[in-house]
Amino acid sequence: MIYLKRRIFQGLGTVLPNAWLPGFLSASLYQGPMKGACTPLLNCYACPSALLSCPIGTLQHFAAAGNVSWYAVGTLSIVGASVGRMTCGTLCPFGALQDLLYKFRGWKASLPHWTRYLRYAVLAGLVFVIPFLTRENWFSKLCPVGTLMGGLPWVTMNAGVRSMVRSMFWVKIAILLFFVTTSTMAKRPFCRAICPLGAIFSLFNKSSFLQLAWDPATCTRCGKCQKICPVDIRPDRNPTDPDCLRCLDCTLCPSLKLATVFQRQPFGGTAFPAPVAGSAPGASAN
Amino acid sequence: MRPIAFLVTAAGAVSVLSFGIFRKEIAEVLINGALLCLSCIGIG
Repeated sequence: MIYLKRRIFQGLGTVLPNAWLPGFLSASLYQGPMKGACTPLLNCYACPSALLSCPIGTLQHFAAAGNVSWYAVGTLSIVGASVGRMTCGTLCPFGALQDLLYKFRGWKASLPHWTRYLRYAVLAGLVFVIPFLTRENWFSKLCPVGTLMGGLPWVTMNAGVRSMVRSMFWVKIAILLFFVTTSTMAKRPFCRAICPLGAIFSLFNKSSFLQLAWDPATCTRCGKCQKICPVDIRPDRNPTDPDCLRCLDCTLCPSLKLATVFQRQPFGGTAFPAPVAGSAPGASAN
Repeated sequence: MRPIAFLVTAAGAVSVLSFGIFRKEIAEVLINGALLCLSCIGIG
């Protein structure tokens, strides 16, 4: 049931921010007042049907102009402080695509642990420092979400845009194909290793209003939570792991549940867990 | 510690957002979003 609910939310997270269908019919962008709001998702604002603005595109635009978008930072901070990375797990369209691609049968692999730090380098380098130095939106130039939601529709629909295609477009296509292919083998490679929006939200996982709570009294450390986790983590070792998407798939287990930061005893008899990674009996470093 | 961290973060987030709105950044976000991002579609 939780799994089905998440699929429904992911569908809504894909459709609602991209609900301006005349954009596809007339090959034009929505230019109304809703474009002034940043969506808490990696949702390309160059998509013909996009109603809202991309927060990473907005941060880059301001950085390229030598400025900081306090509005975008504040919007993302409010979402992060409320739910942590929950929008990544329950609403993000590109996350939903990666979840579906991983269902393909075939060879599976785990991402190396160090790759989780790459997203912070992408955030600092491609979203802030390099756009500031070069005055160009370098994350957008490489973003596979932009290729999928903006580039492919525009190049397909508009002959004028098609005539402007150069080598950079094919670089973007190659990056998109790379992540589509690797998503069939590893769980959410883009979200875990690259996504700068996920990097921002993961900073809030430890102190957000909604928290994942773990009950050490009933947990048998069977590891099934890791098997169903879309980012391959062990919530019983660290319920506030920065990688955790708060998708709540693991709450199928009665030892894990959604709680608030103000609940000291979410399971009734035990204190709110704050374990150090690897401190659980039988646990080893991930 | 966590409830305090949440309250401090939430207060900071509201302050930062308010500052952004006070600086009329929404207008710039709107204009930027209303223009076709050529970098996003791979031709800029």
